Amino acid sequence: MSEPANSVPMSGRQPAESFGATFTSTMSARRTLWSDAFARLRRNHGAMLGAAGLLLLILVALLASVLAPYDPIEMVPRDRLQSPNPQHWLGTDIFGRDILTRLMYGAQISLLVGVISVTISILIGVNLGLIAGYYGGLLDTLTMRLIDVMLAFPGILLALAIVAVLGPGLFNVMIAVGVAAVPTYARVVRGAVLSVRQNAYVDAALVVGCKNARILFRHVLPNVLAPIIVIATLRVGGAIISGAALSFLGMGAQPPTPEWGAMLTEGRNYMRVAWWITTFPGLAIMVTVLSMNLLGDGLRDALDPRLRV
Amino acid sequence: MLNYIRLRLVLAVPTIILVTILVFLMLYAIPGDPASIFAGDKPVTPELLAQIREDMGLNRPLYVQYSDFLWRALHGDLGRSLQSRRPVMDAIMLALPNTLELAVAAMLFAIALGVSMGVISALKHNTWLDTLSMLTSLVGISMPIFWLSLLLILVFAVNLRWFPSIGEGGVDRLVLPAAALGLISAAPTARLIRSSMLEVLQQEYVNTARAKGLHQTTIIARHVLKNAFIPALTVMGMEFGNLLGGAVITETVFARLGLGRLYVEGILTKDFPMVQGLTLLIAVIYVMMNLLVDVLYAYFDPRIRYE
Amino acid sequence: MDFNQLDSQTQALLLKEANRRGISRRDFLRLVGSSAGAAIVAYLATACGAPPPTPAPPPPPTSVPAPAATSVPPTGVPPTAVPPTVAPTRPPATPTPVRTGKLVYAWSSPFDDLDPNATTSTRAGRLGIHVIEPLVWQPKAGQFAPGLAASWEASPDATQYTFKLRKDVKFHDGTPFDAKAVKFTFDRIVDPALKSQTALSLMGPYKSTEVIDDYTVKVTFKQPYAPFLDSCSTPYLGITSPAAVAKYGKDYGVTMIVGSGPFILKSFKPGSEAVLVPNPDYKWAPDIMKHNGPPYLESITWKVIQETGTRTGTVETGEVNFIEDVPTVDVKRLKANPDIVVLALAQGGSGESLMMNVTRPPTDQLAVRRAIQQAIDKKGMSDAVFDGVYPVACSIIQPSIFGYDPETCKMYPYDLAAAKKSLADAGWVDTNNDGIVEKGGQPLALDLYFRQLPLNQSMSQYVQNQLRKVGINVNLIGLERAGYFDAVRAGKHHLQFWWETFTDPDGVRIMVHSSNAGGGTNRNNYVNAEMDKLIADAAATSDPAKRKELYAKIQKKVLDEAVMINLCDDQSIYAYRKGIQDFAMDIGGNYPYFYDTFIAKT
Repeated sequence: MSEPANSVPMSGRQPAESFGATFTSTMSARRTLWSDAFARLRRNHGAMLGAAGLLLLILVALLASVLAPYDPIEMVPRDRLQSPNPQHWLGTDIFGRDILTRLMYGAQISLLVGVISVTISILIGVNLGLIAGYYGGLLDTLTMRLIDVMLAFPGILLALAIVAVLGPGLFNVMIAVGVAAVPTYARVVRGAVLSVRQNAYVDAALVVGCKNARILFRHVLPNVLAPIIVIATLRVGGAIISGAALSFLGMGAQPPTPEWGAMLTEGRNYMRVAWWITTFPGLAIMVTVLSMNLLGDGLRDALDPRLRV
Repeated sequence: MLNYIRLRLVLAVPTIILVTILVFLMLYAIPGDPASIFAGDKPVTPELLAQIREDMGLNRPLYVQYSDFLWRALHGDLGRSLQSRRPVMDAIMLALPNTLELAVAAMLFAIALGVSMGVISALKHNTWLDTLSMLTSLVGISMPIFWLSLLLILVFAVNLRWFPSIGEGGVDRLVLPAAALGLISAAPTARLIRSSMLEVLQQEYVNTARAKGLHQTTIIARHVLKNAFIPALTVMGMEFGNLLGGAVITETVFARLGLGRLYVEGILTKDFPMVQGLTLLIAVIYVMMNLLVDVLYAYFDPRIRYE
Repeated sequence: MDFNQLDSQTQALLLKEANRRGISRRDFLRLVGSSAGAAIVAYLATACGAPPPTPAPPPPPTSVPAPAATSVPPTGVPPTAVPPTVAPTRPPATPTPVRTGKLVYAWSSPFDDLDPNATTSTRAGRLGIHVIEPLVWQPKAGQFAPGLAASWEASPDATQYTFKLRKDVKFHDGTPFDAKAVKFTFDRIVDPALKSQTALSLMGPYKSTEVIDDYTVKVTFKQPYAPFLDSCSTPYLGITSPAAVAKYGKDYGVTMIVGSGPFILKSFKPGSEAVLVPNPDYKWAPDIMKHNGPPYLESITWKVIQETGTRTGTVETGEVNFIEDVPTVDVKRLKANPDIVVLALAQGGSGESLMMNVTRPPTDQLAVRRAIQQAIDKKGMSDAVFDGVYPVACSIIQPSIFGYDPETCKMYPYDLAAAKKSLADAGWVDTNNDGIVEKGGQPLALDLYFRQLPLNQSMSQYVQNQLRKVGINVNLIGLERAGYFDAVRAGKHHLQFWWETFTDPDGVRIMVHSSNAGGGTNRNNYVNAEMDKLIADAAATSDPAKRKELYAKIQKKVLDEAVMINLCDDQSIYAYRKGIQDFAMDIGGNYPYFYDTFIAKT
């Protein structure tokens, strides 16, 4: 999968780059930190551009049925393979369906794929990382072995195998992409937890008698939130691309679903006579992922305490 | 150092075995019967189908199938593909060089492009050049690789006729697929080089070197790059894995015979010996790569020795 | 002719030819100078080829010949050796430029088994026929010409075939071709250990082969089997070298095949590439070929290029000079290209069709199947999915096959109103206004299973769209091989796609004979004693008129009972660079033969 997997540095390798190290846990400091970060984000032009793109995408996805000029599924044979023109701004496909309309409806799907698969990754990965990092010992070693095992695989093959087991279809694609990305999240979270755990306040909480679970969720998790947010934002784009790649390999959404990857694949045999069928969905994917990456980058810069002036 | 390596190697073995077990189970879980796939849409009687299934060794209990595979693998025999009846080792040996050359070429491309973009960005920090190159690299990560491949073929092979579009063997056939893969990998490299260089440039010892009167280029070459490379190494190690994954799609679009395609075919046809053999190979490569990265890491940065 | 008057290129050529025949250079020069020299030179020159190549139009016609079935002796006639239809003219003794060339052929899909006697892949057959030769050739439907068999005789009841074989043939490994090799090949095909599929089904009710003497064999069948000669003309019953099979064992067909053909297999990388080189000892070319001796081509390289866009691109750039399976969308553009010739042939067999599972409700009801039959706009599908290139299909067999009945085109045409009426009459009504009809509370929903291929995706969407217009909801279930074959063999589907290649109409048994139902190729799961009898009778009779009548009945029955719906008739579409001359094509449009081929400089 083409994804900025490295965007959050690997834990334990660069001692200078652990997010948790400089956080304190007093309420006032946290408030200042987040609002501080937000202000910095606002100043970052790239991030704002990305945010705008994301907003546009969400808007289009929500309002597709209102904004779209045509029906995304209805076939109009006499209009087939039209190049972009005033009636069809982005042209039509082999069944005469309007590409712009299908792109709009496809936005819903892409967003869903991105969000749901990232959610799955977070639900599983964060918990794994929290447990491994916090409890340490055998649990940690076992979990990290499992992570290593999963990482010993190109992600797309793992996702492909999972979809092969579950069967094709959008929902299974989301699960597959989500599960295949778990190792990355687990690793990052574990690293962040490891550095937070060393802090004095955790020991203090233990001494005071707080239960482990409580410490995990009240103290550790909030401080680990920043890297999670960053990596999640950056990975939504990767998830969308992976979903499209699975469609390309034939395991994705079933026709006639206007999923961007599937549209791209449909058009691939017609590239010489109708370049627009492949180009526009590809552009849509690219712009979406670019927006997410810009935003994610901005978030990372904003939340990185070392860049604080 | 040697102990460290030995320890890692020893730890690698159970990992690899675990991988093969998991993959075996996963493959088994895929719905479908390899004998049925072998027969396809051609006329076949139920008796013949049963015969084929028997010959494929699919009627044996799972643990027998797996342990048989492991035992033979330890003796260097990876069995025969269920679909092609060709020895798995032969198929891998044919495909491996192609994938390796693609991955290496893409890696070189990515490093060359990424390092130069990263260095330029860092040196011209906050100028339009910086923004432009960072934006370009972001665009690179955002493109689906199959789309990029198709575009490259359309523009450079079909319209401009600069390169052939398909096949393996020879440098000219390597250019387009390596470019597609490399462009996408260059981006994270560039960004990481940039940020680590920036970090290093701010360090004390750089100022000291400048004060000493050393030339800017010498400073960069001798001090900055070496230290900036460390985090980049981790990335590149991980990127190699991503490259293998990206190779799957690139090989399909550019019609190259390679491990990625073999793997996909194997999964889709439940070809146990093929998938198991490939998994073993990929897991070993991965573990070695990680070990190499860690060792280089420890070599470059004396502060980090043991995990 | 005076040797010294020839240009140097031709002189070198003649010298080479002489050397090839074992005349040393010194002798050659001496002979040339002598009075016999002119004759010698003339004689040598004849081997160098036919008259200078003129830009010849591609050999087979692109239009489908009208079913002039009456003039063609059908395969039912006990076939005898047909005198060569092409009288070989040995070319005059004028010097000709060297005929050569390197052919690069692009397959559209990979395959694993190279052994024609075992494989199921048409592409393997395309390569195989150049390496492993058939006993007979079929230049016209029902007309057979000698191949490895010099002559043959069939018993009047078509249960025994006696072949007299050529005596001058050698396999590539040096072993001689003889009756034992024929027996070995046939027995091996029916041996369950080989797991042969295509070849096995072509062998029909095979009983045994008897070696009468070194060059005579008698093949016996348990029941009359008229299509046997047609089977013998396919690549799949080509004669293999027994010594090679013994030598390579399990690897035979995996890495190597050995036959007696004009080309030798040099290398094979499954899924990627194969290379053929000329057989220098080849001198038993069938008379229907244009020359004798080794082939002109220096080599044939076969590559697998699955991506259609990439494949067509390669013939446009010239990287590849012959491609198969040109997608219909590229046909217009390639035809407009002055460097490329497009060859579209009717593909012998049964076209793209929709099979309906008659054992699974609700497709077990004739009314539902009839509605589907009349609800699909075949012309619309041809335009939308096949860019208008494939013609509309009427019958279960294509028009180029003997026995095709054009009356089928009038039966059950596209009629949405009639389709809706069929449903309504059977009690299917849209009670809740959702656009889908129901009966007894159950909505009419069908599962269409298809393999994940681009063509299937387009066809399935079209079918879904059409059926929705009459109130049928179609669930599209596109699966990869692993899941697909299991599902359709178990009969989980209501609808699935099919197409089939064959040259004898007996091929219909693949799709509608009861023996192939329940997990085999008859995915309609159609079991009908009357149909079985019709098929059996048609395969057993020798009378062409009777055969025609029976096949007409079969075609009508398929339509009357709405067993399956033939949508569009496939064409085999090839595209090649101008300059490729003299390749032959079988009557089914499936197996190009490059023995006489050379590449002229354009």
